[in-house]
Amino acid sequence: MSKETAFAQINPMVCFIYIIGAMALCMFTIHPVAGFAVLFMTLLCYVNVCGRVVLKKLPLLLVVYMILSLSNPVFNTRGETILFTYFGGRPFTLEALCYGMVLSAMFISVMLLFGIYNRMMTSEKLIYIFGGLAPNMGLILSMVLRFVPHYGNQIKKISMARHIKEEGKYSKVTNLLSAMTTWSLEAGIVTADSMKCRGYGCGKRGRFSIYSFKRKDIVVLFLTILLFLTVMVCRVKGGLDAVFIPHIKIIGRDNIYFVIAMCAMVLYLAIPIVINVTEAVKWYILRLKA
Amino acid sequence: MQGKSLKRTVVYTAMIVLAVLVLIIFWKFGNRNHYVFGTLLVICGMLPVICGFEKKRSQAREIVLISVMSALAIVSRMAFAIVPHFKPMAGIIMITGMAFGPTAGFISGMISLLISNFAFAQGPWTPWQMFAFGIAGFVAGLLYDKGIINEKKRIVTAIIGGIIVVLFVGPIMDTSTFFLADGMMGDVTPWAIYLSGLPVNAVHAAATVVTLFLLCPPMLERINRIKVKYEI
Repeated sequence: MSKETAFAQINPMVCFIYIIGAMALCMFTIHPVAGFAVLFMTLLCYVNVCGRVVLKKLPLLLVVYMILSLSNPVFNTRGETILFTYFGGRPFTLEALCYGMVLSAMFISVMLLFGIYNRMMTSEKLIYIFGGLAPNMGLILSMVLRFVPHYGNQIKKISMARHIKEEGKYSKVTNLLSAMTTWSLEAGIVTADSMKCRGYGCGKRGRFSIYSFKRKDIVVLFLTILLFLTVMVCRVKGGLDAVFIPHIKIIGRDNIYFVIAMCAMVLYLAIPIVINVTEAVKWYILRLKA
Repeated sequence: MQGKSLKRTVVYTAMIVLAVLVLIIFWKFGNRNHYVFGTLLVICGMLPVICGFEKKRSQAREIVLISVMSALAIVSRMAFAIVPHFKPMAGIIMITGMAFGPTAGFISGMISLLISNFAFAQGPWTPWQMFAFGIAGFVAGLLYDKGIINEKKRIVTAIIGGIIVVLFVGPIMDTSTFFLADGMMGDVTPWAIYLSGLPVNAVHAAATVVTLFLLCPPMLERINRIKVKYEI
């Protein structure tokens, strides 16, 4: 694992809101130009956040994209321009193909965003977010994360101790899990009683966090919300309208809302890249001085 | 104490009202993206349980026991992946619901799926899986409270567990597939998706029947012993 990028170091709450917002933007975009712009920007972001290694995945993505786009006209036969017919007259239409291409672009963008999410939102950040909104759930989350490797080791120990005993596969699993149940519950009760003795549940509840809310976080949060709302307003005003079936009709450059929405969308998805690149440039200059 | 509890109630009620409002706005102005709508609906479905759990000041023991059972479900999913036809996740979540009540079952189902997806992969299906397995734990807990299933009726419990998987867990996850495919492929009838999901669900249900048949009596026995020993 490489070290965290600059964007991953901003406040997890902001990060989470940003990614959810980006996914929403992708899912609501069926305008072809906007769709491909979003796909391009998310791809840039993905490479920027996850490193150049992911470029190896590009051919695979392309194959998935082709399959998804080409499969849409097979399921969906509506549309005016028939490219060719197969299976004795089942039409393969241009409109359905275009629709499929835009939908696949959207689908791949969302998948890339989930890739970014998996990379940036580590489990401790999720606990930080949950801990603020729902303290009990946050506590459970962090405990389970600790218990899982712990129990994995214990299962290994128990199965090693029972190794010599000859038993069937299923009775072995059953016995192992029964033993695990007793052991883990008893250990859990001890933990709980120890928590209670140290004053869990009385007094005001604090929480541990290593994340602070800096000026940079506020700026990013503000930009995120502003750009997201801009795009949504333009959408409602019809700036990103596109109809594919029965014939293609899309909003063009002459619509002012379309231009604004496109700019806002590209800017929105450029936020992580800008942050990461600025940080890299800063370091480069610092190194030059040294 | 009273003031804080009241404040929390207000905050949570506001959250749910806000969620519903956002849903209505999405439905009115969005391009009727079914997947987003459905996912938000699922999240709204999880909110009341989470809020109820947060609102009552839980005992340390309750929290730890739920964590322990969730961790057991996750570990057994990972450790026994090689044993054929043995998918203990749903089974253990149901046992949690039976032993510690419907709410505990729901929460442990949600947490188990959320965390085991860190090991596998988070995706658009995560909220749906969380909800589906939460419901499995919840229903098992309800049935146990009614006395329909318990550790003495080994076969009945196992079969009802399988039925829960076919009726609740499978269809909820298929619905997520349907919404995703609906966006992708245009005209897909829901029945096609549910029918194509049926074999997978049947295998999952059979695995759950096997798991519950093997695990339910010994595990519940152990849990009851602990309950008596520590007066829970």
